[in-house]
Amino acid sequence: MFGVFYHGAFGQLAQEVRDTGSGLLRHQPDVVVLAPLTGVVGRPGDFSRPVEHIVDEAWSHVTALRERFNGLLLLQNMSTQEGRPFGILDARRELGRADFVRSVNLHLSRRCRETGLAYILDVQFLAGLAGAVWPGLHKQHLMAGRPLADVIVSQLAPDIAAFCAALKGFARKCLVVDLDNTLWGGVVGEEGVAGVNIGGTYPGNLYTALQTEIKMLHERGVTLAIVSKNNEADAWEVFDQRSEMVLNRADFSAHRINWRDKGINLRDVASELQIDLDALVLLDDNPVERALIEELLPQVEVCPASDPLEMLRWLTTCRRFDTLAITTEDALRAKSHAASVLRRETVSNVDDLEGYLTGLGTEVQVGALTTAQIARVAQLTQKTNQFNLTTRRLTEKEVQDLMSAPDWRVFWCRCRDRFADEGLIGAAIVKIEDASWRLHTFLMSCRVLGRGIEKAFLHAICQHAVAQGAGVMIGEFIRTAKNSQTETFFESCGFTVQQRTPDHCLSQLSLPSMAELKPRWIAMNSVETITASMSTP
Amino acid sequence: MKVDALFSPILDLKAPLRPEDSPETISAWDSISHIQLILAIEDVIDGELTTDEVVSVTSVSKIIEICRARGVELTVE
Repeated sequence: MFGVFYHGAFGQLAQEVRDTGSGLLRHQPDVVVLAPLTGVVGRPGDFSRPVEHIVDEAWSHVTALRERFNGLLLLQNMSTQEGRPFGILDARRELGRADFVRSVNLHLSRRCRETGLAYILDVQFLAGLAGAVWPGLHKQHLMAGRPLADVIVSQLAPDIAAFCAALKGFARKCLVVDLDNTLWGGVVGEEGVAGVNIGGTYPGNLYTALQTEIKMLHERGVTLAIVSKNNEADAWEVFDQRSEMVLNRADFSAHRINWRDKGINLRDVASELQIDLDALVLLDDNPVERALIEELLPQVEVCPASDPLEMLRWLTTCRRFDTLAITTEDALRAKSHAASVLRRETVSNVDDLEGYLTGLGTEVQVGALTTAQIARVAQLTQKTNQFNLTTRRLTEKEVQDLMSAPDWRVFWCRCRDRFADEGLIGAAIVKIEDASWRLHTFLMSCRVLGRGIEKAFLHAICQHAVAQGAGVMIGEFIRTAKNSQTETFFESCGFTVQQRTPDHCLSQLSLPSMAELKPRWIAMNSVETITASMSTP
Repeated sequence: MKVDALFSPILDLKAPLRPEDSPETISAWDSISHIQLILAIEDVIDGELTTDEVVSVTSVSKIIEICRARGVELTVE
């Protein structure tokens, strides 16, 4: 990930966000970090102003910029500083300095939450994490007017990078863990189920804490997998017999517990879960195994720690899994992987593919975007890499703007079968240019691929376009390192290529003569309500 | 340590530094590079400069003097 940076002119924040010709806006940024509250502390009289005034003033910059900017907006909140006019009685005052800063920050967080206009860059929290000895009384502040100490910047920067990574689709999706000396202390094959260290006091509590952290990641949508050199039966005995285990077998969507090469096992897990290697993070106490994976599979992010406390610290602050929204689908994902295992097992006795697909009982629902789906649709544009024809990353604000734009349409697609409700797994954005509809975005979550759902989705959009008087659907393909499987998608749907270069292709489909794209084994669910929701402006 | 080694990551040096060089003789020695220099000196002496020392950073010879007092010998070409 590389950035092209623009630093606003010193002390010119108000002008930069309001003047259309400003350096900031001419730079056409994807991400803007606003820090209207640095340097506020210590200005005479600031602490005697009502909290609301400070909040309103800071917020005015956010709303001003929002009129001219659709990208990702990060608002740096207020940093705690050393000065306490009443010393240790600070908290006995009606609103002491420290509480004043907290109050300002609570108000800002609430505004961000309620309006969705910006995300908080929490400098107050990060300064603590940085262990900044002198957050305000450092030399650069006084000598150079640079209000943030280097140690704080070194914690702020990874948060900014994590926001950018989440926006651009670099967030990791799956945590792969080793077992011995990682999920528990000791080696189960040597010490036995009763001998491994988990729960209780130190050091068993370290493994409990690490598992609790992993469980939290899982609950917010991170897929878990096990890759471990062990006898499989021994390993599961720990899960089944040790009540102190926080994680249970069902939390893991894939596992390779055997004596094979770790690199092969990791590849296997990625392909079973239908994700790329660069969506994996590996937690393994063995430095030799870690070095091997770093050498063989550099796409995999490897936690550099062997010590359980260091692993816990790294995992807690690594930010590798952070996304811009947590949606219902994130919670469904774990169930979805479990269902796909069941799906394979249950239907494996069916010989022909169509029989298999029919047996799944897939139902697809397509609709026009309403406010309820904005977060998920934006998240899909940010996270989907493989089945994504144009890979255009959008913020929630951009999606929201498209929803109300007269010549744009945003569609979503949900699916479920007899094994799982996959939730909202597809999105399409169309630009209407008279009688031709151009697919600006067309994508589908990779875990539902191979069942023709993408064709059913496209067909529903085409049918709707016909009903709206469109004559032509235009498909666009923009090559990335990861979406080669979509290269011929439009052609496979009957589109004719108009223009092709190695990295870009435009094709079109004449709608009146369109053939049925929806596979026989898919039921389009409640089409009437969809059509009704589609025709609302 | 050579004084040029301290300066060269910060200033685009056309010629080896002389003791008498200062912001007046080196055009790239502006207010930003001055702060970077202070930080670089603090790195070299492995400590924080006092306010008096910061204020006295006005020339190469002064920098050599400050560093010497902190036990770090800087040399010119």
